[in-house]
Parts: sequence; C-alpha cells; structure tokens
Amino acid sequence: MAPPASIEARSHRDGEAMGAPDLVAETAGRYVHWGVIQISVTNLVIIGAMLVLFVLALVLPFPGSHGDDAPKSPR
Amino acid sequence: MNTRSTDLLLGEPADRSNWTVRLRTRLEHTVPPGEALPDRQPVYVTSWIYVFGVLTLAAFVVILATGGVLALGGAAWWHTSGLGHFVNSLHLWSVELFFAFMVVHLWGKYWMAAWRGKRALTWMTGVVAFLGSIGTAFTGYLSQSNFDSQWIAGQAKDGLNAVGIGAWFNVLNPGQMLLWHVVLLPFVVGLLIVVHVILVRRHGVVPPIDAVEE
Repeated sequence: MAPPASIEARSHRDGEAMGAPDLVAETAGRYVHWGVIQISVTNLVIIGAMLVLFVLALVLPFPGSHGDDAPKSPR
Repeated sequence: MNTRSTDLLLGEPADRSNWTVRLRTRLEHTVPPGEALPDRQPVYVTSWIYVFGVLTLAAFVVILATGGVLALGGAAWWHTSGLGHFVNSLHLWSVELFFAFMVVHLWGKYWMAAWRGKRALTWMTGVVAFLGSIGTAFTGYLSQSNFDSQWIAGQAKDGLNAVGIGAWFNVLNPGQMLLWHVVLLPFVVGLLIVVHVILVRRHGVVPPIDAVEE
C-alpha cells in the first residue's frame, strides 16, 4: 500500500534537507608519501620521538652509576 | 576405631604423587631463593635502557586501574561527565605510553640479543604479550562506543572475514568486543606478563653482549 501523498511529500523535503552539503567531514590530517609508503605526520613524529628516546637511553649516564669503578654485586 | 589415612603420613617424607606437593616444589624451584625481589643488581643494569621494562609494567598497572574505573562508570559516564572524560584520557594515554615503552624495551632487548643464556622462553613470552597487547588495544578502540569505533569496525570486518575468523571474532558485535577487551585479553596479557617477569627473575637480567654475566 502506497503512503499517503502528504507523507511522501514530507519525506522528499527531508531528503533534500539532509542532502545539503553543509556537513563536511574533517580532514584526515597531513600525510607523507614516499613511494608505496604513506604515513601521517603525527605517527612519523611519534616514531621519531621514540627513536630519540632510545638513543638517549643508550648514551645518557644513569644517576648513581660510576662506570667501571662500581663494585660488583655478589649475584 | 579406624585410623585415618592422613594420620599415617604425619612426619613422613612428602608424597610426590600429591599434586599440592609437586606444585609447591615447582614453585620453590622456579625462582632461586632471594631472587624474587632482589635489592641488588649487576653493575651493567645501571643504564637507562634497562628501565623501559619496568616503565612498561607501570603503564600496564595504570591501564588496569583506569580501565577498572571506566568499567564502574560505564559508557554514558565516560562520554558525558568531566571526570569520565579525564579517566578515559588517562586510560588512552597510559596505553600510548605502554606501547611506546614496550617498543623501546623491545629494541633494546633485540639489539642485545636478550634470548641468550637460556632466555628464549623469556623472549617468546614477551613477543606473545606484545601481540596480545595489540589485540587488546584493537578491541579497546572498538569499545569506545562512538563514530570512531564504528568506523574502525566497518573497516576491519572485511579483513577479518577474509581470513575466516569473522564468525567467531565479529568486530561488528560491540558486546563481544567489549568482553574480549575487559576480560579475555587482559587476563591473557596479564598472565603472560607475570610469567615474563618470573622468568626474568629466574634467569637474571640479560647482560650486554660484551659484558661478563654476573
């Protein structure tokens, strides 16, 4: 059974209103493209920060350590 | 008057057929005496690279605590209240730090070949815990109950269906994903972490490649 003409007309109006291009999705952010590799700038910065943290953990002196002069623990 | 069978065992050597005795003996031999919570470490442990394992563990504790609070409040609470937003953010950022610390820990252990000296099981429990953590984080993103989680589920379903597990692990079923996230996967990852730490205590911290093991 077909809907009454008034309902059909109202649904058409709603459809037109919803189709208006005033809802635009936010952009997905900036990306770096290098051949087949594609990565967001955010993720690239985080990976870079982790690499810096890794290198710092290797080269920075640990508080309380005295190099080779430290006494050996009796394990 | 009958004599009970247990009366006959008093003062006799432990019965190896008794599973409690076997379990007790196994526990006593798993970690050497005094090594479970040592107050001294080898000199080569005085390096920042040895800190990232315990940093990962600390982040995991924060994840469990904040996750417990989120479970108490529920989705409506963490979406609408200021305190809910705060705890939700604590949960997210402790996960971010958990993965960052774990990956730096992984790099450090990989480059010092941490599987040396009968530590292969320690290495493998860490690898499987890492993979399990990825699954736990994934089901967490699916449990946010927002458009982001719907988008991720819609994108993931095709890949999981393609490998044939969609019928058992349905990312479009938020109830199933929430229960995997708050019960099954945290239990598995937590158990693996406990075994991993016990193995570290049993075999000791791996020395640098050019150092003499102490």
